[in-house]
Amino acid sequence: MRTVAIAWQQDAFESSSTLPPIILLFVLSAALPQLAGAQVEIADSQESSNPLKQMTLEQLGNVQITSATKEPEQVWKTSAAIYVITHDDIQRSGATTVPEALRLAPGVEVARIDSNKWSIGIRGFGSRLARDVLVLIDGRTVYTTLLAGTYWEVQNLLLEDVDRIEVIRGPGATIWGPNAVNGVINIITKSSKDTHGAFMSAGGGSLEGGFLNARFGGGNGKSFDYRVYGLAFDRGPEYHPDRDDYDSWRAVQGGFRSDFAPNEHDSFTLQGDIYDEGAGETVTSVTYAPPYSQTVRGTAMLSGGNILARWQRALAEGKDIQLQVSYDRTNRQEPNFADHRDTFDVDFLNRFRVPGRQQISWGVGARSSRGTNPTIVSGLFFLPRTRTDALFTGFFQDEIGLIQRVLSLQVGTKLLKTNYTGLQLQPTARLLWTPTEKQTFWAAFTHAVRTPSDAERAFYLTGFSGVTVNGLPLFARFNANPNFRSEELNGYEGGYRKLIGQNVYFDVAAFFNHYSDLFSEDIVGAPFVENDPPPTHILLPAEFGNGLVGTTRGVEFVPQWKPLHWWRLRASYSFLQMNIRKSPQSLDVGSAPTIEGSSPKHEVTAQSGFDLEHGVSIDLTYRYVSALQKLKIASYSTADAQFAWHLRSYLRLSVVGHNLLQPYHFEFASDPAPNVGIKRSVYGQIAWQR
Amino acid sequence: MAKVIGPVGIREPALRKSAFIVAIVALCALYSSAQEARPTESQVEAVYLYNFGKFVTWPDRASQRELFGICILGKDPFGEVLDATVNGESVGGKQTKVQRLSNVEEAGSCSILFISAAEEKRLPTILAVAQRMNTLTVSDIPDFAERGGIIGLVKQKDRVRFEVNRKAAEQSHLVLSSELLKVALRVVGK
Repeated sequence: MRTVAIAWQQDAFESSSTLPPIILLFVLSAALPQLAGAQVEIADSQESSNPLKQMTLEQLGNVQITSATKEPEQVWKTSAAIYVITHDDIQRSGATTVPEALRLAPGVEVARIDSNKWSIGIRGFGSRLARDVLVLIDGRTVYTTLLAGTYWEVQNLLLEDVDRIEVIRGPGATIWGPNAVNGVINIITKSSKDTHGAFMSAGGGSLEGGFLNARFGGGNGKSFDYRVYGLAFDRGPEYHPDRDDYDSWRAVQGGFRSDFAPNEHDSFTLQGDIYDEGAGETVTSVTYAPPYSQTVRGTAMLSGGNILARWQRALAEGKDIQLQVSYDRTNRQEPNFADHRDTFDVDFLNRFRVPGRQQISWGVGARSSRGTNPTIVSGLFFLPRTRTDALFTGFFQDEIGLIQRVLSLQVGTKLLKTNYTGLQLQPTARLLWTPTEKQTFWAAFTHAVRTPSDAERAFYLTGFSGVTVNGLPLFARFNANPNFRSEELNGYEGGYRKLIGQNVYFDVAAFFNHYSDLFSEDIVGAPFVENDPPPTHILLPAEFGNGLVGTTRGVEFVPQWKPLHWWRLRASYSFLQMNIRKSPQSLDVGSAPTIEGSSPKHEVTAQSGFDLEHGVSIDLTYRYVSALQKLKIASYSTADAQFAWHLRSYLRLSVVGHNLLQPYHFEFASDPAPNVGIKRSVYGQIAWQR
Repeated sequence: MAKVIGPVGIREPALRKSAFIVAIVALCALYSSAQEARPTESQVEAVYLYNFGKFVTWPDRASQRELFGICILGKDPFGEVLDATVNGESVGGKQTKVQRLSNVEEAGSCSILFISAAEEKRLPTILAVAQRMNTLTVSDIPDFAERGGIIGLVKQKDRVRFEVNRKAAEQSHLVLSSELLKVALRVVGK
């Protein structure tokens, strides 16, 4: 065991030498266009006298333009580490799911566990449910209070209708809801005004057994627009060293969105989705009766639906009102546990300006989530079985223009109360300085909390340790902890963005986060003989506590360069240093190293996109992720490629390859073992639009 | 175990594959020499804004403005580009001046008003006020001319063209030159 660990660490160390080829690649790809682009620079210098101004209107109408990087303008004046994944970015990545698309964002660690599961973290703390990350789809929170986090496999979308994904690293600004401790992922679909007409795409490949997407949209040409969509897919298993291919995934989903704007001030949105999925998995099933512990292979039956209504009244620039209500139904039936849940949510938001360059925003919200968890195996249960989680939230924020267009200060706080906590404040202060039109500095302090969930307060999770000498089985059980408090963060961050000329843009952000009362796994007493639940066994009592503290620090560097109108280069480098430890009185069993060791220290992404003639585009992506020490996942480098051909304005063919550099590689640990390898895969797609 | 997770087996092929990618990049770079740099959409739109002034006659009332105001209402999509295009230029003998507004009521000194796409919801009000002020309204809001604006900028594939609403111009007492109408992609409100 010991020798394996040492050998592995050496390997991990050596693997850092795979970095130089990447750098070499970058230097080369940077140098080549420099050589070839000599006359481009001349053209640029001529532009200072602006030949466009000498043109007639007719000539002007025939000038071919480049689609400039619009993205920097969107994020330009945000005092947070924001990265926007646009519709175009998603399409060019060939991603078929939201988690795969999230690989494009810096500071986000996406590790595929198997065909239908991911571990996602922002600035550390990568885990299956990403409990410190708030995820919203069109303003609807999809974070579950059951086990704290997001079930990624049920957040499917018709990616064609996604307008953008905004990823905020670090504790979100005041306006976002609770649990946005390490980041916010805000998925925004297109208005139904922008999705008129029919769209269909279909494809399949080595892993994507087959998929079909369809949408139809229309409107009355004035105030009312709508769309309906449907999607279905069947995805095969990833690589299993033991050939137990349990993780296939199939889903059917449908939905609609309608937007109604009866006058210039008001707009109404009504949207909803309904889905049914089967996601293959293996789980550990623990019972107090023999066989005590076994690995069960089965299918998680996942179904549900949601509906959301939103009213917005825009009175003037910076003056508006928004009211949103939503309902979500979730059914989750796994081989060892089940959840049937109804969630209602209402949010009100108001923004207005007051003289003296101040913009005030405030809002209130409430959520009720009622869930039932019938016990399937005796080693995993919730008490009480049916519970209602409640959340009341409010926020107030004042944005003060200290020097017009140059310096602004944002101060605000969130107020939060749940059925498990008293009133908690989450204040933030953010400073934004834009000395010129082409550069931005920002700095922020935020206090944020991750609220207790049913997982800590109402959950009983048993593990089987073995049979003792006297013949009785020994179990360890995490009992519900009524004293579990919120996890707390004090976050300090800052960033700088700069546009150099027209075509080079970079964004750098650095952070220092101080955490306290972090989730720990505590042994709280000596083993004793327990008769209930029967049969008689020995129990080691444990609970989830607040016994860890720690810090994280890191930097994300995101350069973009558009050397030519048909060529785009983008890269990102994320560095993360985690230092998590037991607090002095903690009874933690030693979970800190696992938390530290579940996030990569270095991540590199490099993308090169070419728009060639005849509607052909080629996109290449290279990824490097350093080792996950504690999970014994080695560092890896891999690449994706997409070749797309716009045959006609309404017809697009594409071939996408993912994870091309090796037959398979490991990205995260599976529970239960063994780990699942993520395969090299290829798929083809035909998309038609009218 | 170590064999499965060790990166030793990955390194060499990775180098070979990097070389392959470099080759593709190089090919594309060569291809680039045949192409030249294109202006951005904002650059072309800014030149349009400034140029339109040469093809429009304002009523006497509006001619009393001292400067030729080119204004942007709402979120500015141009940034420095507009200032760089317009600075030091004059239209009809008047010095141009770029102004950024948050309320259409401030548009009294504007000969040309560019309406940001973010203002789409308030369009009817904005157009009514602008008409009273004899201001030439321009925007890249979809179907802008159709919806009562005077000149709508339209992106056609990779070119920027424009549509004109003749009736809206008349209501604002603006006279559009025949050349402007001729070049327009489409003239509505005849």
